[in-house]
Amino acid sequence: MTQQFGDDAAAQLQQPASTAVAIAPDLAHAVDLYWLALQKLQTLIEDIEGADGRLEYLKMLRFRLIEFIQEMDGILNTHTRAVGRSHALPYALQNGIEFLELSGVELTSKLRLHEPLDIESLQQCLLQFSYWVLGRLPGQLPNAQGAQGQREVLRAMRGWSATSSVMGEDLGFLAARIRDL
Amino acid sequence: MIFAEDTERFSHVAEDRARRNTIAFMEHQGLDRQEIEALAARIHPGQCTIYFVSTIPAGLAGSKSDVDVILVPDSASGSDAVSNMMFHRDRRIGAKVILATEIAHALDRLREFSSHSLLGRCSDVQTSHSPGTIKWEDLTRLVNGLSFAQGATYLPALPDIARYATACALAKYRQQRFAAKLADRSNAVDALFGYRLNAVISAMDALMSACGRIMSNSKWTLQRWQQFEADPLTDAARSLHLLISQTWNSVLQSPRADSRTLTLLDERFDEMTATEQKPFRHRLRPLSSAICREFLPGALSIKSNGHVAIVPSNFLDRLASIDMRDPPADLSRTEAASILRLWQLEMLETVDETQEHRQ
Repeated sequence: MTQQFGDDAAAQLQQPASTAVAIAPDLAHAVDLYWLALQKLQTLIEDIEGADGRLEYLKMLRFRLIEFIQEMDGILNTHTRAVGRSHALPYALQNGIEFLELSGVELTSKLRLHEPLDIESLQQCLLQFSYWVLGRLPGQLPNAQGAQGQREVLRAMRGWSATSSVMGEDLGFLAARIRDL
Repeated sequence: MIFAEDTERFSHVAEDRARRNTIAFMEHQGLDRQEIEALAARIHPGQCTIYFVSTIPAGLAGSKSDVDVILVPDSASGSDAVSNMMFHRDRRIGAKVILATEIAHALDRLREFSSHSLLGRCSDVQTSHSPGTIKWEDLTRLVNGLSFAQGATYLPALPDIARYATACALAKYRQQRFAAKLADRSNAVDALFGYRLNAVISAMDALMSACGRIMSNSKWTLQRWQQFEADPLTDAARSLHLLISQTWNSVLQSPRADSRTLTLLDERFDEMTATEQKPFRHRLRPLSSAICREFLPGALSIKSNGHVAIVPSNFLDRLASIDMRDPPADLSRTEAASILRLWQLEMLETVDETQEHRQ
């Protein structure tokens, strides 16, 4: 026990560990976050993987990625609240993304926004970043894109529905998601 | 408003291009067009015309792209639009049924819009609320869609769609320009860069739409711009194309620099629409659903869109006096930052006033 505390303390002295937990105000927001990742982030990753040598398309996907993580930030940080979609990119570049602990400058740098890149480098950069974002969400996200995926999604939703009940939260938000499916 | 000659030229080649692109895609990707059509046809009991839509006829589809088709039933029977996802040789096929009556209605409404003046506005000319009941995305897909049996049935609606799409893109452009000016005044240099990027991307969309090249999904804009570069254009369209390209490069190279090319672009777009619309003043104001009450002497509370903002009591008067096109020289850094923040949080909306109309 003492050994363990010692190790933790030593680790802490070197570098603050970043969190790999998602802290939301309630279950509805947590589900919304994962739902967004399922619907949009997976699609985005697929688009990036399928860029097929089209550099301009990839550059646009980079902007989409920034807008997307800003939307996620707005779900988690209700004091920020997702800004209007037409403001998302400028807002993110200026204010950064809180749940990723990235300032605007760090975001720009991580996505290599001001560097002239060839397609392979840009594709790799965007994929690494996207997988890193996914990795910040604990758990195995069902793959909504595959034939199998729909079943897994429904299973997840049933689980969330039951949990909602136990946590004393309204299940209304899930109905809309089911309709979308 | 639109570049009529460029749009017409494009409409002459559009059907052929769509056909060639679709055939090439199928061959390249080892897919069987007729099998796909047969598969899609299963989602509706009656006879349908099957349109290939979206990235495939547009020549944008890649190795992982879905095959998107829209089915238009021959007879009026049947249910609302049904969406289905199927698989053919590991490729996702997205098929949707849309009724001919709904399409006709939407195209009629679109023609009406065309003759009103949407132009010169900056308030949201909504593309998410399409004329009629079908989604804007589906309408644009149909106009550019190709049936191997019937051809490009809805292509004649291209000029109407082009006008609407151009008006929408110009409205976005203006909003982004106004936001950029606020960001500049408040010294939010990174936001300024972002707004400028957005503005020029909207400008690209506006020009391409004005030349009949329509695509509702903006993720393709930069790629389409590259394709567009190689197309033959009239002098007028070409000159605007050059200006926009120059502006894009200058924004990328010097994100924070004084942008003369953007001002030039503002003027060019104003010229384009000048003959067709009255000049507007553009303002920001609280949403009509907002509740505004005195908070303390000297301070106002505004409850709107899930937030409560406490602002100086002269905030609304100040806002009413500002023409977004031309923010006053005495607009302070703090004022600009506050207005921008409230706008970003969607507590404010833009409004267009004709010169004669005072609110």
